[in-house]
Formats: sequence, structure tokens, C-alpha cells
Amino acid sequence: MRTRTGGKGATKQALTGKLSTDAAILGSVFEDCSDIMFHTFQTMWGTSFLCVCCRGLCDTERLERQVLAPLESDEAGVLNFPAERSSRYLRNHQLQEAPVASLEVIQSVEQAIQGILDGQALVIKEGVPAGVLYSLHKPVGRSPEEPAAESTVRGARDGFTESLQTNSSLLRMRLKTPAFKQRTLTIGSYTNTKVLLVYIDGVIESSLLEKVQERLQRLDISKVLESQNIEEGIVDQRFSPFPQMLATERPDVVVSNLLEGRFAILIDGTPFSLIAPVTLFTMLQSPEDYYQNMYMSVFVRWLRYLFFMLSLLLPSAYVAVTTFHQEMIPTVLLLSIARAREEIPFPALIEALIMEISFEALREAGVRLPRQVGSAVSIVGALIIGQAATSAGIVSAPMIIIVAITGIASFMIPRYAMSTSTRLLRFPIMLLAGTMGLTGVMLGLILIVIHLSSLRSFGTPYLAPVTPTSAEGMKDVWWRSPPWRRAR
Amino acid sequence: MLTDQGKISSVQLAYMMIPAILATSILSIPSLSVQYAGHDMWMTPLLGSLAGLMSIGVAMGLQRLYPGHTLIQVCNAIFGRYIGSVLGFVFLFYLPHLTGLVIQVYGNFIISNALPNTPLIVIMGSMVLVCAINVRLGIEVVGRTSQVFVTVFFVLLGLTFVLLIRELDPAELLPFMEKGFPSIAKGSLAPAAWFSEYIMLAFLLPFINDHSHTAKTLLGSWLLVVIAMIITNLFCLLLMGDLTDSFTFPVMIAARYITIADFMQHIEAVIIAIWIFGIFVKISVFLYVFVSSTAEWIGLKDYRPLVFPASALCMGYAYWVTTGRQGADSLIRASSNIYTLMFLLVIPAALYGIAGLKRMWGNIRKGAKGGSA
Repeated sequence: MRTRTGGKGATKQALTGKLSTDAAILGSVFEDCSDIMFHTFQTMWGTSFLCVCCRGLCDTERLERQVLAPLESDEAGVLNFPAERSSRYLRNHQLQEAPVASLEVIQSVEQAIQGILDGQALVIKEGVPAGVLYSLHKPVGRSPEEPAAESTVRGARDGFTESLQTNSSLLRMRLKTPAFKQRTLTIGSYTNTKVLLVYIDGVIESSLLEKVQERLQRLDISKVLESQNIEEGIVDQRFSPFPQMLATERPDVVVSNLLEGRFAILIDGTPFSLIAPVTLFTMLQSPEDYYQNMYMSVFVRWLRYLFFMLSLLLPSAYVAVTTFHQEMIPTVLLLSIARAREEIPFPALIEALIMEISFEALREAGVRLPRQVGSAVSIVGALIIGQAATSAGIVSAPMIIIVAITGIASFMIPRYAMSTSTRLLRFPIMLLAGTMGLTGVMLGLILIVIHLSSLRSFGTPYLAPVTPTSAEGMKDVWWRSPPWRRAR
Repeated sequence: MLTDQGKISSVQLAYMMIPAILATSILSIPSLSVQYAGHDMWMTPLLGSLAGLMSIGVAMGLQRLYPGHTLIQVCNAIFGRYIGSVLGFVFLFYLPHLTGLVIQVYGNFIISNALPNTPLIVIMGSMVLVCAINVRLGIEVVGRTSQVFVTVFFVLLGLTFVLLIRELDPAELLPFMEKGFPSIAKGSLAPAAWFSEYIMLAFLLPFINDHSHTAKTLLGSWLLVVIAMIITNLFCLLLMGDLTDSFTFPVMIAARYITIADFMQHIEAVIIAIWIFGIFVKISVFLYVFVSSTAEWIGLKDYRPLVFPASALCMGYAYWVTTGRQGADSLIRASSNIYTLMFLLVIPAALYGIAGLKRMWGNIRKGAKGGSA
């Protein structure tokens, strides 16, 4: 991993133990970084110390109370300064004698820079060619709240936050076993973001773990601000409209997926964690499927499959049937549709495109607008699109019903990334329906299935367990078997 | 050396073969067999299916003698490089002909039933393009898409037949054996030609990764096809009786009988949908076989570069095979059955026979040598 820092070549050096030299090296690296605090002091016994830390990230109050004060009061600063002792002694005694739970003795300047930027405090003593990094992170960010995008009626109410430590502890709380492993990686040449690869030893296949570890290490990007930055770099098929990793804010979802042999990637700075490998059917499942009555979840699951298809195909089916296959519509219904469409100047395809595009625009506006004006959008949408457009004879009422049902259908898909891909795919299928009728819709559907069949998420075929077939896995697709019937 | 590294399961292969037989036969067979066999036409698939059994037997036998070899490679293995290549070329000549015919049938069907004003080239071209994409992604993807669409195919087909039950008139079964056994045999020639397409297995068996259940699975698929074909024939007969042969696609006419609660009517589009799924799998399988055997014949390591040129060639064949619907009809109806049977059954069976003799001769010689030594 390349690290982009100032002070050419300085990072390769080791700490000298000569305070003025070390301060000069670090000073040139952190030139124009006003948030980095340099503090040189001398104890009453004449020993000099240098303390460097990042003001906003490091808890300076604790630094003073727990590190600097004992050093000053200590005779010659020997007892309380771990870097001086033999490493063996250190291992045996550091926890009792150091007033900080976590510290690390380091030699190189590079480690020192990383530690400081990470929120640790670096302390160097005159004459000792090593430094000590004290972990004195100031807790930043919010406390766990219920995730907004993935709400359930019944189920845990806590969600991930932006802090990696909080997130990993939320998982540990639910997985009190040493088999639950976390590997730390640093990704992003500028952001140097901490990334946790978590899995359960003995449940996950080791080849899968090697694969993801290798892909993460090969990833060479400058920034990691959101999970998408990582997802795009490590998935199998980068040009697919379908999500190949499951992004979730819920710790319970992560835990249940880990227990099914998947891995998760937690990223510092975002509440979204990534789970893989996923299949089409995991993307259509909600955590609540497992938290409620079995029959209800099977019913809801099938409802979801139905509406998934509707959200993909309903507008195009309407266009195809009204344009090419009018004989399929029952006579009475055909008459009322014809009456409604009588004064519409556009062909059905154009009408559908106008409505779908304005619906997408409304939805996008609703997401982006400040919350205070959000209600304006819904009023404008309902009034203008719903009422005025029909009475002005621009759009027919049946089309509005179709668009509304399609909208509801796409909201029913529990994974946001999945619903966006169906929203996107709807348009090409609509064009096919407008040009070749149901034949076109079928061809579009076939193309999508071809793509899904060739798609893999970290080696797992996207349409598994339906094809390639696994009878065990099918139980959780067509049905939700009670826990004692499921494997593991 | 196969030109594709992918592997499929025997179940997927069985799924691939089902529409390879059923997709086109389900439309044409009822009217073809009723011409000869009259009211006994429902029996013709029974007799015709024997050709399927023979094809499966030949394909499995060749696979036993030359494991991991496709039919093209078997030709080389039996006759040596030169004669084998000539024989392989015969198949390369025949395969696009068959594929082109299937594409042609598809185009005509869609034009006459769904999109009368769309140019033929658009209809055939779009389908061939979709199939070519499928084929290019490899045998695994072809296997998976088959599994998905064949399942949908059977669900929708089953639904159609269930909805038709109340319209049936069992009296149409009589008179029984009116024209005697020879005419039934003549009527079963068409189903036999379709069933002989099971010889595609000889090209696809090397891709299987579980050899233990193959025979059982393939016989299952054969049985399924026989039953589906008999049921289709029965339904057409019991609905339309003697009129069956006056329609090119009797199943489409049958679908018009369906009404659900006087509300859902004219669901021919469902039949078209079923059929598009089926024909997609069929064209994909044939195209795959054609492309991969061409690659083997030339000696390429990878078949992928050939997919689009070969698809374009098949499109060309679709125009050359016949002109217009009349031509296609006559080609399906008459002499072509013999022609198909020859390529798909007689030549492979002869190959199997020669291979068997060769193996036997080799064993005798080895035995003689062993005795003398």
C-alpha cells in the first residue's frame, strides 16, 4: 500500500531518539497541518519528551491525565516509559504499569505518522530510538440508531454507525465466540481507511476468504468514502447493473449472513457494510422473513417475487398489450381503456416513457430535496401528474395506475440496490415492448436471465440455488423452512 | 480437448434437450401426424420415440467407447484424420441447415401469429443475436438459462392444458385403429425425426461433470418429452378432431378455446411466450453444437471467436433453406424426415457400429497376440 505523505523519503527512516531530529522529520511531514500538535517538555528530573498527536482525534484530556502527568512525576521517566524496557519485560508488565489500555512501541517514522493520523498519541523520549503510540481515541460520531433504509416491525433496533470500533463491537456483542474473526486492512492511498474483513472461522470456505483478501489487497484506489468505492473494485463483473454485494446497516443481518458462510466487510466512516457472496434470492429477502410467522414470511416472500417481476415488466406488458395484442384484453376492459386513451395524443410507449421518467424524477427529487420542502414534491407530484395530466388529456388514467403499481412494486424490493437495477432495466424492456410487442418483452427477459446466469458473486452463481440446483438451498427460496429444518 | 472449459450437470443437459425436441415439434407434430394416422395420431409419438431411445443409446455408446470425445472427435478417432475430417465436415454442413430451419420456423411463426408487419430479418435477427450472446457465454450459461426457461415452459404449458380440459371431447378418439398400423407407422416418421435430434447428446455428453446418473436422467427427459408430445397430440385431437391437419399450428388454435371466467380470453400470447422460451433454448443448443464442433473441426482451442460468424451463417441458411412459409411447410412435412433421420440417426448409428467392430477386432487381435505369446 502506497502512502502519500509529505517530506520526501523521510517516512522510510527510523526514529533516532534525538528529539530535535525527530521533531524536524515529523515537522516537515506535517508541514501546514495545523491540527497536528507538537509538544516538547522536560520533567523536573531533566528528561526531555516529545509528544505528537492530532488534536481533534486524540483525547487530549486523557493524554494529559493518563500519560503526561505520570511521566512528569516519575523519577527520570523510566518506569512509566515502556519503550525503554526490554520487550520481554514489556509484554509481561505493560498492562499493569501503563495507565493506558492499549499502547504500541514503534521504531519507524512511517508507523509513527500512521499512528498519529489514526488518532493515537506519539511520545518519544530523548535518547531512546523508539516511540510509544498510546491509543487515546476520542469517541466521535453518533450512537447506534435504527437504520432508516432497512426498518423492520420486529427485530433489532440498532444499526451501524460511522465508527468502525462501534460497528465491530455491535457484531461481537452478538457473536460471543472466538471463531468470529476480524482481519484489519488499510485501503485508499489518501484516506488510509481502516477496513475490517469479518468472518466465522470454520463456517466460511477458506478459498473464498483467500479470494476476497487477495482482491482487497490488490485494490489500488485513492479514496474510500463509502462502501461502494470498495464494492466496485472487488466484484466479479464490474459492468453488471445488478448488485453483487449486499450493503446493509443492520448488525443482525451481518451476523446471520456470517453464520451462513459469507464474509462481511466493515468500513470506517460509513454505516454500510458489504456482504458477499450473494445471489438474486438473497437480494429479495428481508431480515424480517426470519423474525415472523413462517406462513406469513412465505406469503410475503412470494408477494415480493411477484412484485419484483411486476416492477420489471408491468409497464412494458401494458405497452405491448395495448399496442400489439389488444385481443388479449377482455372486451369490457378494452372499451374502458380505449375510452380513456381516446384523447391521448401519444402512442402508449411514449405515454409510458413520459410517466415513468417523471416518476423517477419525482422520486429522485424527493430524496435530494431538503426535508422542509419535501412535502411540496409530493403535492406537486400527486396534483400535477395525477390529476392535471389526466384531465388535460396528456396521460390516460390506466397508465397512471400502471405507473403507481410499478412504483409500489419497486418499493417492495427490500434491498435498495436491487430496486434501482430493476428501475433501470425497465426502460430498455419498455422500448423492446414498444417495437416488438410481447415478443420483445420475452427477448428482453431472456437477455436478463442470460446475464444473471453468467453473473457470479465471488464465485457463487447468481441464480443459485435454483440453477445450479441445490435442493437444500431451494428450501429457503420457495419456502422458508423453520430453523430446525434448515442446515446449520 | 474440448473448446469450452465449462461443465454442466446431467440434469441441466436433460433440461437442454427437452425443448430441443419439444419446442418446434409441439406446434407442427399434431397436424403432421394426423395426416397419416388419423384418429390414432396420439399414438405416433410412442412409436416415434423409439428413434429417440436409439439416438440416446448411440450417443451414450459412443461416449462409452470414446469417453470425453464429441461426435466430431469420434469421427477422427475412428477413421483417422483425413477421412474423419471429411465425415466431420458432413455434420458441419448439416448442422447449420438444421439450425437455419429452426430459425426460419420461428420467424414464420412470429410473423403469422404475433407481428405481421415486422420484417422477417428483425424477428429472426433479434432471436439469433440473443442466442449468440447466450452461446458465447459458454455451456454453463446455456445450461442455466435452459433450466430456468424449461421450468417456465412446463409450468405455462401445464396450465394451458389444465384450462383446456373441459373443452375436450373424448369421442374423437374413435374409431380406433381406423387406418391400420402402417399408417400409424407412417405418421410416426415425423416424431421420429424430431426424436432423433437427441443425437445432439453425442456432442454435449463430454461436458457433463456427474457421470453416475446420466443414463437415468436422460431417460427421464425422454419420457417427459414423450408424455408431453402425446398429451399435446391428444388435446389437439380431442379439441379439433379431423380439422387438426388443416392448421399449421394447431396448438395456437387450441389456445383460443381457453376462457377463464369469461374474462381472460385469447391467451395465445401465453402460448407464444412459452414457445419463445422453448425455441430460444433450442436454437441456443443447436448453435452451440454447431459452433463448438466447427471449432473442434478446425482445431481451435476456444470456440468463442466463431460464435457471431456462425450465427450470421445460420441466419443465411434460414433464408436459403426454403422460401416462405409454403416451402418450410413442405420441407417439414415430406421427404425431409428421411433426410433428418439419416443425418441424426443412421450415420451416427453406423459410426457406433464401426467403432464397436473396430474395438472388437482390436480385442480379438490382442487376444490372439496374448495367446501366442
